[in-house]
This record gives sequence, C-alpha cells and structure tokens, in this order.
Amino acid sequence: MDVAHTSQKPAVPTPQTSSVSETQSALQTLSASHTQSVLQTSSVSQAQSAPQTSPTPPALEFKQLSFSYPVADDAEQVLPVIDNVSFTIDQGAFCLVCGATGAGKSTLLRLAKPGLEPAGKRTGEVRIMGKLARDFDVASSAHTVGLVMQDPKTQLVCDSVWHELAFGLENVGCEPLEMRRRVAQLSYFLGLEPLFHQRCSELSDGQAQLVALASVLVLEPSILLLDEPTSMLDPLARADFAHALFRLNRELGITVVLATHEPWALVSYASCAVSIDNGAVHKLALSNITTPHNLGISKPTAAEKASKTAQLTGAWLRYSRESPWVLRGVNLSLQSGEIHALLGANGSGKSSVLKTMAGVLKPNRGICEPQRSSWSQQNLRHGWFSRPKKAGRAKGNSEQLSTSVRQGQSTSQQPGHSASTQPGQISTSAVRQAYLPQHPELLFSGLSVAEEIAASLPHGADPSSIQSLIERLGLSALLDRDPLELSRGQRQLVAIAKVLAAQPTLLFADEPTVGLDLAARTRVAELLSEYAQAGTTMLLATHDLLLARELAHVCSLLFDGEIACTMPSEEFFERSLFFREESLS
Amino acid sequence: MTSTEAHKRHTVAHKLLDGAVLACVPVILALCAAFKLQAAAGLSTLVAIVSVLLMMTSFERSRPALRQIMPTVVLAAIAAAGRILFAPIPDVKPVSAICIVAGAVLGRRNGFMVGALAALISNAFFGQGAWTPWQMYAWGLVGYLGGVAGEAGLLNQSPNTRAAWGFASALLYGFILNSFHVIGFVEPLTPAAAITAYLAGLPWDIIHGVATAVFLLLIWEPWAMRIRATTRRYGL
Amino acid sequence: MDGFSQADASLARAVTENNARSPLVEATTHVAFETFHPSLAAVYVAGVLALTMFAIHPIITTLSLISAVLCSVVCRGSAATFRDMRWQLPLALIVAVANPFFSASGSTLLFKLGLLAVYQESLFFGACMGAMLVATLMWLAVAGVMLPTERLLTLFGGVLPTLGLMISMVARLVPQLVKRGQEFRAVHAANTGHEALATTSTAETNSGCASPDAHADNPTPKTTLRERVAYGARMSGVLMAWSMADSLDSADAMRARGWSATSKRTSYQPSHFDLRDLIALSLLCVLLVIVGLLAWVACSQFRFYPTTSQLVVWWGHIPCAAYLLLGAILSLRERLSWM
Repeated sequence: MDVAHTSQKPAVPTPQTSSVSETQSALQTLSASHTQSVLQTSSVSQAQSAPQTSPTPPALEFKQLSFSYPVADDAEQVLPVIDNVSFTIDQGAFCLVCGATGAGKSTLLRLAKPGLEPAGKRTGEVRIMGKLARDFDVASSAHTVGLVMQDPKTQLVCDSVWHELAFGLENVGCEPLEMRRRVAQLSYFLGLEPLFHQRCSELSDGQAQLVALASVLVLEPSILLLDEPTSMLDPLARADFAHALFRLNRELGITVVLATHEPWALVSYASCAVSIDNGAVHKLALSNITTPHNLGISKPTAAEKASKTAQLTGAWLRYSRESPWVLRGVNLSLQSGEIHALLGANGSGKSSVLKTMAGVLKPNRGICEPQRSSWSQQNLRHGWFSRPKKAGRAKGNSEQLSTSVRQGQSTSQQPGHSASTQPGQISTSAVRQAYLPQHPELLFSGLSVAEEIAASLPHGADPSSIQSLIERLGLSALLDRDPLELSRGQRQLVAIAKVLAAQPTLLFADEPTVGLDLAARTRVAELLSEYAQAGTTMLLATHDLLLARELAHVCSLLFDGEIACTMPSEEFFERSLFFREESLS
Repeated sequence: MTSTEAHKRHTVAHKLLDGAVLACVPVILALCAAFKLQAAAGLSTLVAIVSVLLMMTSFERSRPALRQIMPTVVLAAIAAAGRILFAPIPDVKPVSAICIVAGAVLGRRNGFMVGALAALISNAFFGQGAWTPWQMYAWGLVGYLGGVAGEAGLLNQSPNTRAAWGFASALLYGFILNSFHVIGFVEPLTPAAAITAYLAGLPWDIIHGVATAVFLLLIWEPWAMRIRATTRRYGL
Repeated sequence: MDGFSQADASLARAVTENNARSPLVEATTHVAFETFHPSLAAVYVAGVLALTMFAIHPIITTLSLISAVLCSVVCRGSAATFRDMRWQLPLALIVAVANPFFSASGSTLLFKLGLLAVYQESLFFGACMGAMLVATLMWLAVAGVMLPTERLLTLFGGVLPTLGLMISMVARLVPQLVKRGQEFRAVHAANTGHEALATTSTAETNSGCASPDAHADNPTPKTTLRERVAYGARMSGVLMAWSMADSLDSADAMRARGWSATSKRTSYQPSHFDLRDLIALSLLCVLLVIVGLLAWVACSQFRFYPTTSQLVVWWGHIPCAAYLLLGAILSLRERLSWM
C-alpha cells in the first residue's frame, strides 16, 4: 500500500566538524536519527490521493514522468529514455543518481531544470519545491535550481574569475552593491579569494569546477543539480569538490542531487541514492554501493626476452627560458611488450614526459631514444608553419637506433602488423607509434566515426580488422555520427579506437580512461591488455589507480620533475601507504 | 501587418544608419586628403574609433540573443587564434575570410562584430598599435560587406565569385590601412605621392588577397553548414 | 610601409612562446594611477595620445618621444622597450626618408636623385613624423600596461555590458584555441602509426595509402606553401567544429544561470569612484585643457613649409613636458614606494 514517508530535516552540524573522520561519525549519528525513506514508488491513484504529510514540499518530485527524444520521420520508434518514473527527493537531502553512461541521468537532471529541458516528447509532471516546472520563468529558475555540468572548462564563459562569479547576478539585474556582498561571502565560504583575479584559462580543472559551482551558488538556489561533476577531475580535486558539496548540504541545507557513474566515491557524503536502469528508477540502499576492487581483467605476461623499445635519459625540459623546469633529469625506459604506468598529481609533468618520449618535444638536456628526425621533433613554441631545422637525415640515424628494436619487431607476433620497411627510409619507421592526447578531439579530422577509424589503418591492413575493435568498444551504433557531436566519454572511445586501429608497436596514452564509466574502463583495459600481449609497448599517464594496478606491469611515480620510483605495480601498491586508490577516491 | 511593416522599416532604418556610420570614415579620410590637414592621423583615428564604438553600441542595443552572441564570439576567437597561428607567414591571415563567412551566415552586424573583436583581442596579444582602431574598422567593414554580399546571394553562386569577393575584400582591407598610413603620415599629399605609397604596399595586399580567396574557398561550405547547424541547435 | 606585419611576426614568437601575457589580467608592475579609478588612467592616456597625434611640433614631439620611452622603461621594463624599439626605429626611419621622396616641396634643396629632389624641409618633416609614429606606438604599449583591458571593461562594462561580456569571452577562448591549434600539429606528428610517416616524401606517401585523408594529416617537410595552408585550413575547420560544439555547452551554462532573465543587464564594478578620484580627475582635466591650449598656440605659430620656423624655447612647453612626464614620474613613485 501507500508507504507514508516521514522525514525530518537533518540537524545541521556545527561548522567545526571539518575533518573527514569527524564528519563521518556525525553522519552516522544523523542517519540513525532520521528515517531514510526519502524515496517512494507509488501507483497513479495513490500518488494523486496521498496527502502531503511533510510540512515542507519536497525539493524535487517526479510524477509518472516519461520522456523520449524526437526521431526523424523515417526512423523506427525509439524506446523512451525515461519510462513512467515517479519519485521524490526531500529538501536537504544529498541524493546520488547512479547509472551507466547514457542511461538517462543527464536527461533526468535536465528535466528538473526549468528552461534547459531537452526537446522531445514528455508526459508526466515535474514539481520543484511544490511548483510545476513549467510555471518557472528564467529568473525564478535561476534562483531556485542550479545546474553544474561535467566539463569544467566549457562552463566558464568569462575571462576572469571575478567576472564569472558575478555573471549570474549580472544576468538577473542585481544591484552592484548586492552583487559585491554575495560574491564576497561566497568566495570566503568556498575559499576562492586567492583565485579572484586569475584568468579562467589558467585555472586547473579542479579549481575551474569549484568556480563553476560558485558561479551557480551565487544566485542562492535551494536545489543543486550536478551532472557528473567529478568525472573529469583527478582524485585530489574530486575529494575537494565532494567536500565542498558536503558542506553546502549539511551546513546550508541545500538539496544536492548528483548524477554519477562512480557512486562509491561519494557514498559517505550521501543521504540517499537511486539508480536508473532501462528507463526505470529504483531506490538504492547506500550500503549496497561498494567500491570495486578489481576490473576483472588478466594482466598480460611480460615477454621473457624484454628488449628496450624506448628510453629517456636525464631529460630536462622547460617550455621557455623564463618558465621553470618541468622535467629535471627524468630517466625512464620502456621494455618491449610492457605496460608502463606513469603516475603523479595533476600538473606534475606527466604529459610532458609523454610528449618527450613520443618525440614531440625535444628535451633541453638529455637524450631520448629512439632518435627522431628533426621534423617530428618540434617544440610547441612555433605556430603551424615554422621551418623545421635542417634535417640531419644521414644514415647515422639508423645506427643510433638500438638494434633491439629491429629485433623486437621481427620476433614478436603482432596481429595484422604489415611489413613496414621500405628501401631508403630511416629505420625509425620500424617503430609504429601512436599518441593518444588528453583531448581526444585533437585526433579528429572532421570525418564521421567510421571514416576516422578507417583513416588510421596502416597500409595493406584488412579493413575488417577494425570491426571487432568497434564492437568491443561499443561504437557500432555511432558509426555515421560526427564525433564532435558525441558525449565526452564516447569521443574518448572513438579516439582510442582510432589509435588502436593503427596497430601501433609503441603507444603513448595520456589519461586514456578519463570520463569513462566502469564498464567502459574494463573494456578498454581488456583491449589494451590484448594489444600488449601481442607485443605493443605502452606508456600510460593516468591518475586512475585501479587501472594502473590491474593493467600495468611497472609503475613510475613522477614528482618534482623526477621519477621518484619505478617498481613492478604489485610491489608499488603494496608498499605505498599514502598513494592508494582507496584513500584518493 | 503594420507591425511587420514597422519592423521592416525599423530594419531598413538600422541598415541606413549603419551604412552612414561606416561611411564616415572614408569621408573624413577624403576630406583630410583634400584639405591637406596636418593632424590627419589623429583626426582620422578619432573618427575610426567613434565609428567602431557607434556600431558596437547599436549592436548592444539590439539586445542580441544567445544564438547570435555565441557563434559570433567563437568565430571572433578563431579568427584571432588563426591570426596568431599563421603569424610566421607574413600577410597570410585567415581573419578576412572568417569575417566574410560570419557576415554571410550570421548577418551584417555579427560580421562586423567578428571583425572588430578579432582585431581587438589579437592586438591585445600582439601589442596594441596605432592601427588597432583601423584594423577593427577595416575587418569590421569586411564582415559587414560580407553580410551584404550574403544577403544579395553573391556568395552562393559559384566558387569563382567567392574567390573574387575574398580577393576584393582583402584588397579593401589593405587599402583602408594604407590610406590611414598615407594620409596620416605623408605630408603634403600629392596624387603622385599617394599612388606611389599605395603601390608600395601592393605586393603584400596581393598575397593577402590570394590567401583570403584560398581560405574562403576552403572553408565556405563546411563552416557555413556547421554554423547554421549550431545556430539551429541553440534555439532548443 | 608594412610595419604591421613586422610587428606581427616579431611578437608572434613571444605569443607562441607563452611569454606574452594576456592583458586581461591586472598588471604586475606598479604603474601610475593604479590606485585610482580607471577613468584617470584613461583620461591621461587619451590626452597624451591626442597631444602626440594632433600637435605636430618638433619640440612637443621630441618631448613626447622622450617621455614615452621613459614611461615604457619604468612600466614595462627596459627589455620590452628596447625589443619594441628594434622594429619601431627602422619604421620611423622609413617614414622619415620616404617623405621627401613622396612629396617634393620645400625650399632648401639638399640634393637631386635624377628626377627626385630632396628638400631639407620635407626631410625634417619626415623625421618629425617618424618620431611621432614611434612615440604613438610607445604610448600605446604603455597604455596597454596602464589600462589593461580588464580595467577598461570596468569603465565601459556598465554602459555596454553585453559587449564587455563578449570581449571577456573572446579573450578567454583565444589562448585556449591557440594552444589547441599548436597541439594539433604535435599530435599528428606523434602519430606515425600509419604509413604517412613524417620522414617520407609526398610522392612515396601518395603511392600506397589506406585513404587519401591519412596522409593529408601529416604534412611533410617537402610540402609547398599551398599544401601547408590547406592543412591549416583543414585543422582550423576541426578547431571551429570543436569550439562550436563546446559553445553549445557554454550556452547551456549561461542559460542555466539566468541569461535573458531581464533586458537590463547590470555590471559588477569592483572599483569605485570617491572624492580622492574626483579631485585627481579634475586636476588632470584642468592640466590637460591648459596643455591643449598651449600646444595649439605653439602649433599654429610653427610652419614646416616652405621654410621651417625658428625653434624657440618657450615657457609654454614646460606644462606640456610636465603632463607628458607625469606618467613616468608617477609610475616611478609607485615602484619606489613598494621597494
């Protein structure tokens, strides 16, 4: 029958409870003191006839909501994204909306934000603070509901942080004095004062996401909707952001609804959870959300006759004469067929190491082997059309290359790797290299997904060899689309497909699993494992410690411009006390 | 019916006003040359600044919608970035071509804004010069005239007309900047001197013209399609 | 004639080396009027520029040039100043020397080159014009430091808020797009996985590729200018598509925060105008008016053609000098007070 739900507003703890352990114990007291039935699923008549027992209207209420995207006239009927969903979220709750990527979490959140509803067929009712969503105009929507999205950098529109914070208030015609008061108070609450005069383009991703949060909060909304806000951040930034949300929820009583595909990271902050699956919404008990401890893949066996594929010796690098040294004597070597993980905090120089080893940047001091021709060695100082230095394309280059590479090339079994030697070329061509950048869009050329992947096939390779690749990455439905219209995670998968389709012998990947949910990460890890088994050497710069532990043979930690340690990954994670995935997630 | 008529008259009035404001600058330049004013540089720069400000004010007062602002902002940023990225090759600047595309697809005023903003911001990186207001005016004018050409359907006809228009626009840009230089700094001004001065800058202008024509041919279709698709999606 | 492209090329290196800072940030060196309302710096800069460009008088122009260089050295540092002078002085020389060739008038003949007669008066005038050009450019560089666009926005932001917002948005996007544009080339160069290797010539690459698009991604050293331009256009197309897709997200973020809630957008202005600003502004305006009148008198009494008037030292030049040197003196005072 009708489950009457009673809930009390959680008692607001004192602001002194700032350390994590204290807040956790406070949380336990809170959860014991109020019933957790903030959700209910009820039938049509019951929902209409059930009396409102709570004194305050629920923050968010969905009543038999169904939504489906518009289809072209000749396409077949699509299933609704959200099908007859009814649930409520109380004021002051911290609700997690869980589900895989593409399950409909974003759609649900957008439907709760008046003014940003996607176009499509909608039936049912959405009530925000008791008022129907369609009764909100632009100003009241901004003052009641705030929305924070996934990509920190695209959400910031202004050049400086102060302008960004004041943006929302400028829009609604707030008086300058009032603007200054709100901006000042919010900056102090979130600790943004040191960033106030900085440029938005100079912020790190974590800082940018906090500024985006602040620019939404400055309008003082009662409900905060967040659409995967931490999926593109590194673990430290995630912890900061989650803690900021926690303070907002517990100290200020703002209702927080957070859609995420990694709910285990936030389970200690949340008060309730739902999951979306096949268009239906189910309540999820918080105790059922557990941290995954393995990806379920098998690590490839390292080759017995490990030969060196690439090596960086004593590399020093800086981007210009006035800027500080980014790399200070980095020593890194890659054995053939091994998966090497490069770990380190955001901004520690992982991308620089990758670019130096890939031959994109030339180290100011030190040697990078294999030697690249001066064409591919270019510092990022120049624009598109600087003249390359006089190429020293003597035959000496081929002798500089370690003979082991040529040996490794001939003895390893690689699926479908075609013979690549041509007479008269330098043998750096024996190394087929691929580089996956942090922004997957940098690999695209403006074609459709299928054409992009096909364009990176090596000469003479069988075009059908990419079919299995496409299917395993789940891109079969997207082959005709323009990759730039896809979501961030899908773009990442297209870029990975493009890079792997080239059948590289040497792969450099910069954050390959950012923005992907657990299932996609597992699939990518499986693929990488298979390619490594076939002989591809890989260097992965990542802050996904689960991936590093499960997939990599060797882990290196980059700190202060140097490699602090290089160890087999089991040993690395066994011996590390402070650098573990549990403490950082 | 009267409201649409009034709206039409309103837009016609706006177009005339814009045209008048933009025409001020060459008129003043000609007057300075005719009367051989000594302080021509200062006066003409002042008029250029005022003209640009008036156009920007009228853009502001038209209260543009989001779907007019964002594509304009993005195109202006790409034009400025393109100018910086192509800087090592002198006189090959994609800005003119981008202004023409912006004007043709987004409308006259947006074309002007793309040119003016691209000039302002890219000069903020290169170092503001005495020619910033002139570059803002000249590229703004190129964008505005691109809008006029787009409305007249000139640019849809054939690649040859597009290439010719791009070449002509780049020459116009060079002409305006050279005029400022000549009328402002060459004293006293005789026709022979003026012609010599213009001819001295001709090779650079021709390179710029060819580059603009090439860019316009390369980017016209894909960019126009994408901008229109994006603008449509803004309405949702 | 085209000092424009000279300036572009020499400073482009600075930009792409990330040395050039976006001016939309507060100046880190201490400059004149920085503790005052931006309108003071704006009035001062406008006055100085007007004086330089309108008052064509050898003494005033020389004073302006000297104070511009001084102010630039104090505000921007000697390295930046001399780097700028490296390309500005040849430009001035060109203007100075070209003038007599373009306009042959005057009375004192120096020499004849075939049909061209070079007169002393036109050479002198050309020199003055060259000096004025350098002074103007130098003052504009100083203006960029004294009045970074952020402070300019606080002046005009209240009057033209949408425009201020658009300038802010474009300024945010440009460094991001430049960096992305540079990375395109780097990423494509690093992906040597397919047969379009960076070291092969175009002919070999053309012979057996999987798709024609594959080799177009990797320009080789032997590509012509046209092919490189085509590559640039192609990559700029991808950049544009990427930015347009991102801009849809930005537009959503703007709408989520109340865009178009009201037609009267207000503006956040962190600087306020108080009595001290008012007094300083009035004094500055009075000084400017006096200097303007004196300069007008001086210019109306001076002729270049047909014979150059005598250069007399006049007391009226002293207020002009004072006004011009004000920037340098105040900036120096600001810097010294922080030492």
